[in-house]
Amino acid sequence: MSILVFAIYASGVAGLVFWEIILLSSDVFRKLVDEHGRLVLNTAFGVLGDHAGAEDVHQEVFMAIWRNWHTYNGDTKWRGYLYRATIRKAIDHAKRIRRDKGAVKDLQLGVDNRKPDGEMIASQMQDKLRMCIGNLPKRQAEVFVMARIDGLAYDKIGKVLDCSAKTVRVHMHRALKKLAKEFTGAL
Amino acid sequence: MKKHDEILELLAGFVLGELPQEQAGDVRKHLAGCDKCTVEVKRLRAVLDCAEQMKNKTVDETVFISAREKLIARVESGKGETLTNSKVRRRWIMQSKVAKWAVAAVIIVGVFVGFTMFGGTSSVAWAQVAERVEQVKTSAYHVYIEVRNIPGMDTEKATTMEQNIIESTEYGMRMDMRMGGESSSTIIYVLPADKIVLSIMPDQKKFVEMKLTDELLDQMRKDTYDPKMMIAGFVGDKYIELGRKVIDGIEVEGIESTDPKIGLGMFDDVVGRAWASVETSLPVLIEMEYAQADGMTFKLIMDGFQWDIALDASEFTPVIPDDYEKLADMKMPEMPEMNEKGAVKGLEVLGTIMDGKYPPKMNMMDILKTLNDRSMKEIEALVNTETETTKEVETSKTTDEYMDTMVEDHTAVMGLCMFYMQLIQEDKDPAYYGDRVTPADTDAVLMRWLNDEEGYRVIFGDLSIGDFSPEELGEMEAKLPPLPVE
Repeated sequence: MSILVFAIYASGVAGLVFWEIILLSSDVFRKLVDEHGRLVLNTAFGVLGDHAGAEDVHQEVFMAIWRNWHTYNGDTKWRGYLYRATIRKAIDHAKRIRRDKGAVKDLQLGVDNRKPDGEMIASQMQDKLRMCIGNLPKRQAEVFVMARIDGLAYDKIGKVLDCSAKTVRVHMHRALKKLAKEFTGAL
Repeated sequence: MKKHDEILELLAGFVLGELPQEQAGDVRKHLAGCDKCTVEVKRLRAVLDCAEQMKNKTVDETVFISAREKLIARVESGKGETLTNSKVRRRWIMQSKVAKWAVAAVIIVGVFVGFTMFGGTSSVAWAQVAERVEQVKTSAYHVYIEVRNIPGMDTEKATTMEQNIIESTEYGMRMDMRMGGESSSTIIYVLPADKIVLSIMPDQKKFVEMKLTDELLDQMRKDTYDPKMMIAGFVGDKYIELGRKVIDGIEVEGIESTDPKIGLGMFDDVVGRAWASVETSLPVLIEMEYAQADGMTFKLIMDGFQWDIALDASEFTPVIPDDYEKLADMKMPEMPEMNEKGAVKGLEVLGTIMDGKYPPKMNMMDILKTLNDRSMKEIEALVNTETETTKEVETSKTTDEYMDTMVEDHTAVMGLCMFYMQLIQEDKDPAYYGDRVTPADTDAVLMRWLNDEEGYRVIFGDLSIGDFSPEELGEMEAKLPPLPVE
């Protein structure tokens, strides 16, 4: 056997392996997106309240998985994993809006003439609450979103966050107190 | 009665409705006389009321579809076509690099193996060329490959591949390979000293490392130089002299061969030409053109030869940036066994894949297509495996298992095809009857060739093997099942 024949054979095998993995992975990945994409989008939308932000989170969550696709295995419990990753990303987004002073200012001063006043005020208040959530310590923010926006019971949140229901309760109380201070203080 | 500060601590639990009845009663009593706590309760409730309004928000299906499309397009790096059904997916796969690369790789292996099988020398001048090349320690050359009309693929465009190769008997080989239309090369290192083959894909920032076994290394060491074999191969006894001409300012002398043997059982027509320098007796240009009856053509040009050039170790030292990801760390599969054992293994794989039949012709291209079809079906089956939302999703483990099987099967089948090519090259009078013999035909001749004792070696439908005289073979072949009616 010549080294050239061998090299070409090797490259053929490597190429085949590479592309088959990519193809197979991308098909399995597509199925993952089909199955859980709505969960990710709806969860992000609940936290952020706007479609663009939710789409951004959707992209970020799935792209992070795709980039590290080789590190996942059959043990991954995708639903719980994606739910938590989405909440984290969505909270990060809320935090980024908070950091972007211009955006905050626009949000506070922005007037939507299409909405009746009550609805507009409610919408502005929700945006403010989102910013306040973004400002909470990570775990408290996660607990608050899961409990109050997604309506999960403490024991279920404990399973997602891998802690006891009692711990979840403590985080929830702390979160609520901090939010009350920041949220109503800002009004 | 609890103190004010104690009550204040309970207020969050109070508004959340989590306090025991007694504590809740204490809080209510306290609130009646404490403005500060009453305000705090209002603040807490304002947060909860606001959060309540944010509940149960869902996006429209159109938003999901749009987000999905964007995501998949991004994953597919702008290929644009979203694979929403199996037909589209299949078309995409067939036009993808998998098939092209596999086809190209297999053809090239076949061609080069074919080259190595030519025997004998009758032209003094060309024997000299072979001798000169044999003394060379380092070389660099360029290879251009063009395949047209690959069955089942887009016939409009040619599939092309270019390779720039440097070789050293001391360091190994480096090949920069670029498929037509690709923006960057795949770089392949064969490094015998490190016992590895590295395939680096800069476009994807990924690399595959394959470990060489000692057996493979031993095999490689036995015969580690290639152009010499190509030239030796060309110097068969069936060629015509093309006379002299000038290529890139070098006076060359050429020969041409149309010996069907170099069709390797894959191509019906073949033309090969080699041009060597009159002054140095070293090759300047090698051209091969193959054509198959179904219209597929394959062209290979080797040029840009540089002989005994200065090459140092750094040119054979792989550079892998830190952000490149190791895609696979695998043991290099053995080269296909080009012998009887390998042939039986390949036939066994094909009999299984083809549901109790053998391929009608021993044609590597058709057989490769059968293998690819099977791969696609398996991919579909894997992808379509139903998974519930709460259950595990099929991922890398399944992929690994699938890849192992696929590589193993490809290797076995390539071994069979290459063995058959070898039999053709060596005038071993091979014949194959897959068009009428199945695994169920235990006594029917499936494949035969001349053995060393002037008898015939026969593989039967059930893959048992035996030696027979030409007379015995004649009798057996007379009893072959009739060809199936179309």
